[in-house]
Amino acid sequence: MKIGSPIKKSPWIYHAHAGGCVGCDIELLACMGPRYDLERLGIKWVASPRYADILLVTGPVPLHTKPFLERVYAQTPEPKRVIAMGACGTSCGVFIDDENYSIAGPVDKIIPVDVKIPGCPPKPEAIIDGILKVMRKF
Amino acid sequence: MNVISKLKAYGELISNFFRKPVTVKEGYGFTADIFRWLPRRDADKCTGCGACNERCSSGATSLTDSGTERLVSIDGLRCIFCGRCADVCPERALDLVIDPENRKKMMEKDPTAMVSLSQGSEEKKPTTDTTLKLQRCTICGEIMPCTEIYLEVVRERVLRNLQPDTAAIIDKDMEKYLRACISCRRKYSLEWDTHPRKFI
Repeated sequence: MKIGSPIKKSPWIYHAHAGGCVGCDIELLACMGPRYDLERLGIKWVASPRYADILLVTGPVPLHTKPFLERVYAQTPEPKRVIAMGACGTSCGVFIDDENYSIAGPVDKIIPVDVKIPGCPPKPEAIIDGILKVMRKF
Repeated sequence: MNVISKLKAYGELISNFFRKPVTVKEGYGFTADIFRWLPRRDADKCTGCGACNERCSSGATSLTDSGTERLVSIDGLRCIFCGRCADVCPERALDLVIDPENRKKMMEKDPTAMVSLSQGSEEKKPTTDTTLKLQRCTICGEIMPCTEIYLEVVRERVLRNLQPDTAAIIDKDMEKYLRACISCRRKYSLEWDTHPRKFI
């Protein structure tokens, strides 16, 4: 059953860390700080994919993490949208997929991605812009 | 002592009502002068030499020859804004600094400003593309793996540091062989008297 645009104001986001350095994750923390403060916009970080509307994936997805990412995607209830973040998440960045033995490829090879936020790491403004873009897709 | 500390606490509480918020409007904000963005390429300066492609740390740049044209591009999704391409470019055609007009818009909180390179699933990939014409061999007409502008730059660079009389001789030779393909150079270099053994 398809429900038309149920989420208009307050998306709950689950952050899945799939390998990579922690640069993007620190930038996500900066988003929750007093300067940008995403919670005033109703955007909330949740601890389990079961509550989430949006899945935010950082990192190039190593082979080891691939089954967990698939499981997290399956656990997120419909309707759901996915954001791939950082140069690694969007296209593997410096971990070039043809030459690296341990990388399962960028995020969009494994699960469908709606919005990509490039940058190494992206600015908090860019993250907010990406989240607002994905909210228009519900 | 107890009363004073209580008064201080109330004073702090009341002053908080009149304080301005620390948070900024979402989607906009301050960008530093040296803020790095997707490299912008000056299409007039670029010679298509491929130095940026050699030096790229994340494999974002690419040179693709198709027919008579060479496409030099930087993939915005893969670029990590390290700036090595701009450092190594001999013509200084690349610039990582954000587009000044866009930056001004961002600082003035103009809603038309481009805040990020974020890409939806059906939107176009953020790239920097330049298309250049490839040189054709003047004798056999075969396409050579270098661009027209690049050969001019090579000629200038070779003649720049030479003595005028030597430069005149080499310039005369280069007129013939620079725009010929490698197999034609091999064939005709003795006929044209451009073979390097004449200097020995």
